[in-house]
This record gives sequence, structure tokens and C-alpha cells, in this order.
Amino acid sequence: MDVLIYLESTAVATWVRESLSLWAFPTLIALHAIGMAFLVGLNVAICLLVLASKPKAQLMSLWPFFRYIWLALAVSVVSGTLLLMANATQLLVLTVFYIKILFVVLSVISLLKLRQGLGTESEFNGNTMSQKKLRFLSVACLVGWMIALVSGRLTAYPMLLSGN
Amino acid sequence: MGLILLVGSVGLIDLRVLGIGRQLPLSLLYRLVPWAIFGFTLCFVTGTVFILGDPFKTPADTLTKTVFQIKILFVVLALINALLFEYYSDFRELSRADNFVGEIPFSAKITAGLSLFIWMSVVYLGRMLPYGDSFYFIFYW
Repeated sequence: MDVLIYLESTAVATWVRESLSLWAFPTLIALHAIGMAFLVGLNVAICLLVLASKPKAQLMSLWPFFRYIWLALAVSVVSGTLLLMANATQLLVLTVFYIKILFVVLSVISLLKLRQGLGTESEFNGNTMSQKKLRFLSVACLVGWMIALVSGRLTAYPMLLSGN
Repeated sequence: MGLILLVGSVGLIDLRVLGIGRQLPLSLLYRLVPWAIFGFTLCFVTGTVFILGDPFKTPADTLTKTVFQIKILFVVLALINALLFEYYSDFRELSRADNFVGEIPFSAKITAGLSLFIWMSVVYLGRMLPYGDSFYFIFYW
């Protein structure tokens, strides 16, 4: 708990939490929402295309979109870290917060595997991922992100979770 | 969930139209349009329920907020932009062509860029709703 209190007492965390400026907490939470919308949204769209499409050659063209997913992930991680520092004592005692982080990590791992499977033809070298495995990874991504999103929203309602 | 489906589908289409992933056939992307419509419908229905069912505020409290009105204006602009993109750019014809991977007309790129900007603004304004009409604080650091 001392570490959490220290995190909350840093200058950045104090500014995020207590400043009346719209550039502090409100903009950070908005950036987190935008980052999440594009990170999960682009991921979901790619997964839907993988599940709906048959010719794998077409799906290899999805490779360039992944850099925008990583950009959105970076925005979410940076804004999320600042928001966490500002409310460390409230968030890091919630089980649902750890569920969110766990499923974010699992979803990113599934996404990395999916990206590997959709790799360009020059990277295949005969080690191709089957369409069935690609679809399995897509479903895993979809389920993982949905659980992460729901648990993320629930962190805003700690009283609800404690039964009050 | 609705926001994810909407922003993800529209975002992927817009990025492709802007020139990212040029080898991706437009006909493949066109399959995302029903998901975008479903996502928008979900957002609209849940948003209406939020406004009508909020136990702490009357609907008038939300509807009279400047931030909310600007958000709705941006949503309307996004829908008009989407209709222009669908019916007045060449997207529909190009997406019907099997495996079209060529250069997209500049007018379609403009609408795609606007679409990305508008939907990001809608997400931003939606998150700003709890902060009411304190936009003058935008100049306060």
C-alpha cells in the first residue's frame, strides 16, 4: 500500500487527479477511450474478416494495418498508466482490474500470433498457419477483448462490485 | 461494444481508402459495412437508454448540454459523410469489382479522412460529457 500511496503522490499523478484543466484527467480518459476504440475496433474488424474469408492470400494484405493497432495500443498503455498512477490505491485493490489486465495481455498475445499467421508470403517459408488455427486465434482475440472491455468498464463502479 | 464494431469497421475501411494495405481488395472490406451499421444501431439504442434511464439526471439535463449537442452534430456529420462516401464516391462500384486493388479516387480519400477525424471527435466528446459545459477550462493548464 505504501508503494500505491507513493505513486499517487507523484507530481504527475497529482496533476492528473486534482487539476481542473480539461487536459488532465478528462483528456487522458478520452485518449484511453480513443486508443481502446481503435485498438480493439481494428482488431475486431480484422478478426471478422478472417472468420468470414476463405482465400488466405487475401488476408495477407491485412498485415499493414497492424502498425496502427500497435500505435493505438501505445496510446492506451501510456494514458492508462497515467490514469492508474492517479488512482492507484483505488484501482490496484480491485480484482476486476487484474482480470482486465490479464485479458488485455492474453488478447495481445493472440493478436501477435494472428499477425504471425497472416504474415507476408516472404515470411512463410513453408511454415504456414492453417485457416482453422487462424480462425481459432480470431475467436480467442474476440472473446479476450470482450472480457477485457467489460471488466474495464466495471472498474469505474467499485461500489457496485462490492455490493453497495 | 457498439462503438468497437462501428469504429473498427469504419476505421479499417477508411485506412484502406487512404492507401494503407493497398493489396487488400475493397470487396472484402465491404463485408464490414453491415457490422458498422449494427454497431451504430447498438450505440444509438444504448445511448437512448442511458439518457432516458439515468437515475441522477433528467433527459433534459443531458440534452441541453453543449458538449452533448456538439457530439450529436458530429454524429450527424459522420452519417452525412458516410452517405456521400457510399453514393457519391466510387467506393460502391469499386468494391463490387472482384479483387480491385488499384488507386482510390481523391474525393473518396477526403471523405475517408474526414470520417476518421469525425468519429475520433465523437468518441472524445462522448468522454467529455461528465465534465459538462466547462470548456473554458480548455485554456487552463
